[in-house]
Amino acid sequence: MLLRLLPALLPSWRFFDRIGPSPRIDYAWLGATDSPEHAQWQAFRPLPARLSWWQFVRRLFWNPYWNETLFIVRCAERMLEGETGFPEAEIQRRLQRAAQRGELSAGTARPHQRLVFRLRAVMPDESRPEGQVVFVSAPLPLGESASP
Amino acid sequence: MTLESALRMTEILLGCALLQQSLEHCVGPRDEQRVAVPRALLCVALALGFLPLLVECLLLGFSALTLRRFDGPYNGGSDRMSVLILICICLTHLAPTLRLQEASFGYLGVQLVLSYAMAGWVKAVNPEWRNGEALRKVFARSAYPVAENLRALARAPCLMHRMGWTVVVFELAFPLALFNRGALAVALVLAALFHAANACLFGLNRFLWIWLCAYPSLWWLQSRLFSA
Repeated sequence: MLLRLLPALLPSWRFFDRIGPSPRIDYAWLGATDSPEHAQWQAFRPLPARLSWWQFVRRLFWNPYWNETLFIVRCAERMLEGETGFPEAEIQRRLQRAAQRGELSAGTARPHQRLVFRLRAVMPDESRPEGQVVFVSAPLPLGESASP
Repeated sequence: MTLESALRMTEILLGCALLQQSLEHCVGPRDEQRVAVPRALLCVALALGFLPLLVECLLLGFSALTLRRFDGPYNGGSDRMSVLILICICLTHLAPTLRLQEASFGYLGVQLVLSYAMAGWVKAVNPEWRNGEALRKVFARSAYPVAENLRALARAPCLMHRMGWTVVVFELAFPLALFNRGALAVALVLAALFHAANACLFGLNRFLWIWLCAYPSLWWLQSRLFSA
């Protein structure tokens, strides 16, 4: 446990030193026999069109939803860097929880549905704003290993 | 400002900043709530000055648990700064001599200066930051802007260029403020406004509050080093 704390004594402070590919997460619902190729993908937590001044001020003090989103983005970045295991499981877990809370649109009421997600890498220089699909998860039954 | 008063002020600010973080986790998944609730209570104890060394050691334990749970920091640099502050103030309490207490607390001030200077240096040596392209990419394509309309800023290359250079020059020049108390006061206000802007534009609210916690250490260090 101590070893996890020690790196904080010599931080690198290299904020935004390079601007790499940026991940986007999409999710889709699949029937019991559907394959991900025919999925109807939807963006996970799309940005609001704009925020009011009151929302900017409130988020200075209370911003759990966005901070969780930043954590999920970091997990997705780790997957873009080639990591598997924890980041993938964590994204699945957060998506399942979002589904259970009714945050994900469509499909939550139908039985035998499975949740899938995919990662798109949006390159900073490319003209295509939609990016390139770099990962598609295995289908997950709704509710598996999720904690509400 | 005496060492004792600077340390106390750091503890009050840290208690409030970590309480804010803990309350945000109280609406998270159950396993996060199980850690966040006792952590929030410890934060109140820290702000009130109740058994500070014990409370800080326990908060460090919770930080280690959190780092293990999230396989690293949950909120990047703000978590690292939280742990750094906790370690420095713990060591300040534990240090047997005044000189060691000053070294422990002063180290936090040094790291605060480095947090700006190093961030400025890595940007200054990157051509994309020098030509404004880096900031344009952050607004245009990264996942950080908090609303779609902010992406329109990327279509103002002149603004991106000026904003990029303003950040680089401010961060690189920050250490110079140490030589004058008035300049340091101005630099700390500007730095706080910089963090507030990052909180508004990119949603990095935890960085704002946790960096403020380290300001008393630098304010004290400046007077310790440069006052007659």
